[in-house]
This record gives sequence, C-alpha cells and structure tokens, in this order.
Amino acid sequence: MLENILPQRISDCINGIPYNSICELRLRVDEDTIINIQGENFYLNNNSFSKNKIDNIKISRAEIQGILSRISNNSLYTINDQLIEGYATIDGGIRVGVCGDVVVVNGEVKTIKNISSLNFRFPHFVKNCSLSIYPYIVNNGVIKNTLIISPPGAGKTTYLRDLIYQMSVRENLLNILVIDERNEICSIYNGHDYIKLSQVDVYSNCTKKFAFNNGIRSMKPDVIFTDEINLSKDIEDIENALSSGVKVISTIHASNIYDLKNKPLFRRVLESKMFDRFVVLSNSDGVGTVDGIYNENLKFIGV
Amino acid sequence: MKLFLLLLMLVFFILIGVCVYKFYSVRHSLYADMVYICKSLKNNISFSKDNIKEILNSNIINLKFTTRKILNSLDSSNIFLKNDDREIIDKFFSSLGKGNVDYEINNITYHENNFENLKEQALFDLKNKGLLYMKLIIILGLVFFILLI
Repeated sequence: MLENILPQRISDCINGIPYNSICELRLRVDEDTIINIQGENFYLNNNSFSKNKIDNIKISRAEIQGILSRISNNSLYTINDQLIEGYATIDGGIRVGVCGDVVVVNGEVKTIKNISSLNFRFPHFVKNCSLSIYPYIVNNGVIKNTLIISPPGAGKTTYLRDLIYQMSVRENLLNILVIDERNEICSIYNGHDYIKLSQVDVYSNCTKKFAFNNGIRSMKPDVIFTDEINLSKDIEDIENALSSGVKVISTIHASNIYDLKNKPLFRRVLESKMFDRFVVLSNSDGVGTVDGIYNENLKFIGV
Repeated sequence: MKLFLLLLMLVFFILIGVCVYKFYSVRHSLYADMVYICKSLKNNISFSKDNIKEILNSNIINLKFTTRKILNSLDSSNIFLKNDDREIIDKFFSSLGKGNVDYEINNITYHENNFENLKEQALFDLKNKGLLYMKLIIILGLVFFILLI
C-alpha cells in the first residue's frame, strides 16, 4: 500500500525493514527523512537507516504534494474534512499527520495548504498486550469505567485496541461501541476494517459529541471505547453516557497521574467518581510499560 | 460502367458532406457531454464525495461514443478536436481535485458555464455552417453527376 503513495526511493528503503517494527515515518520538506523503529529515531538513507546525518533521503515540496494527491486519489476534497483536523487516513489504518499553512475564513478552518511535513503513524495490533490490566477492568463480567493515562507514544491506543479485542472475545453478547474519531483504533478505510473485531460497532471520522449522543440512542451499547478525551470538551458527553448506564473506557494524554491531578477539570472527574480505574502507562521500560493501576480514589491497587 | 463510376462519385460527395456535418455535430455532442459531466461531478461531490476517478467511471457509460473516444485519446491528435478545444478540456480536468468541496463546486460551475457557451456556439455552427456545407457539397456532387452523365 505504501508503494502506491510514497516516492519509490523511500518505499524501496522501507520494504527492507520489518513492517511490525516501524512506528513512524516523518517527511519534512528539504530535510532528512526520519523513521522510528521500535521507539527509536533513525535517518533514512539510500541503503537503510542510520544515526548518521550523511547522505540521507530528503524530500521536496513537490513530492509531498504528490504524496497528498495519491493519498486522496487526486481528489483533495475527499480528505479535506480530515485535513482540517490535521491528518489523513490511508489503507492499512495508517494515519498521516499533516502540517502546513492553515487557511482560516471567518474564524473557520477551511483547509491546510503549503503542506511542509507529513508524519506517517503505523498502527500495530499487539494481541494480548492488555491482559495484565484486563482483570482490573473486567471482573466477573462487571466492567469498570476506566481511564488510561499516558504520554504520547507510550502505547495507549495499542492497549485500547487490544482491550476492545479482549472484551469482544471474552464477554459474550456484549454490545461494544467504538468512537474512532481519527480512524486510529479500528482503522476502518473505505468501509473495510484493518483490524478484525467482532461484536463491535464503530463510528469513525466523526466527533465524540455526535457519536456519544447518537450511538447511545441508536446502538444501545453496554460499553463505549474512545481515545484521547479532552477534559474541557468531552466530560459532559461522558457524564451523560454514564448516567445512561453505559460504561466508558477511554484514554487521555498526560505524562503521569500527578500531572493530571493538578488540572481543575480532573478534580471534577475524581470528585464525581466518574472512573473506577486509572491505568498509567509510560515508556520507562519500553513502549507500553504499566506504571500503575489506581482505583477511583487514586489508591494504588496494582501494576 | 460510366454510370456506375458517376454514382460512386456522387456517393463520395455525399459522404464528404456527411463527414463535414459530423465534424460540427461531434463538437456539439462533446460540449453537451462536458456539461453533463460537470453537473454529475457537482452532484456527487456535494453529496457523497466519491473521488474523481470513480465519478467519471460511473458516468462514462452515459456519454456519447464519440465523446468517449475523444476523451480517451485527449493527448493524441484528433480531426474532430481543435487545439483550443483540447486546451479547454485539458485545463478542466487538470483543475479537478485540488481543493475542498466549495472550491470544487465553484471551479466546476465556472467550467460548466464555459462549456454551456461553447455548446451553444457549437449548435449555432452545426445549424448554420454544418448544414450549409453538407448541402453545398451534396449539390456540387449532383451538379457534377448531371454534367458528366
């Protein structure tokens, strides 16, 4: 799939690297191409990858425009809704972060032009990675409202993905709704899901507000999974879901739980006991390290 | 034998006349189909946002045979296509897929208006020049036929 999108010299180079070990590929206009392999950054050169800043592959603005044209099948309007959110999704569940000049008209973002950077993020389904935390979240068929706390790149989406998989196979006849705002969790592209999950309903490429409101009414879920909640925007929707008897399992960006504790909105989350479990991830011992599992009072209960 | 040859000559003149008429009618059909393509693109982009290739592929069956042939061989020379026509159509297709929905609709509307004007012009040429030249050539053929018989 990448051969059809990337310039040949880059795709030839990547073909030599095991796909499962690639986390990110960063392209910047007139700068060295950087590839992240298993959490470590390298420069991409004609032979392979290295830490040396010599003879590395650089990409031109015209090539970046070409990549974007190919991503959109020469129809930019088909991905403009994603572009104004700063990303585009391609086959294989790969999310491409986009950076450039934002065009704003009457306070509304219309598009992004003069794109200067692309960041390809490769999703990986690490089966069973969440088994260590699963018993804390589901106990005798009872699901706990859970918030997974982690800094960027520590594996929270990968954990969430596996949690959805584990719940869909272990809990019989459970209605699971996934709010996949940026098409990262289930990676549905053109109606086909990259990661095969059963008993799962997915809203993709939509806002959390839309999915929470309509999903609860129409899909009658038992549990809702969603990624990267924003305390200021999404708290009300989550409260409404909880008051409807729906369990919520979500993730949030924070470097650690103490970082989160200082936020006034998080204090509201704690006081209202919205979540029964807090799982903290980090990169301290590699991607996906579980630093701790806490209960609704932030009391440490396991690791 | 002489009669046979003269009849052949007459048929030849009739064919030339029809070809000249065809030249003008193909041009009119081409622009009428371009207007249809524009409308189809606008509807589809506003509603379901399929990509350009999908929209064109699903509508190609509704175009006239001559239009399909011309569009498939836009790069190569074609007696039915003037250089100006080629440039206009090329410019239209090159401008597609470059912006958001609003841009696309505005861009397609602009080109649609152009194609409408060209279609009207082509129809005028067809009714006046096309018919006239066809009749003149056939009459010329008949005159030769009568004179030589």
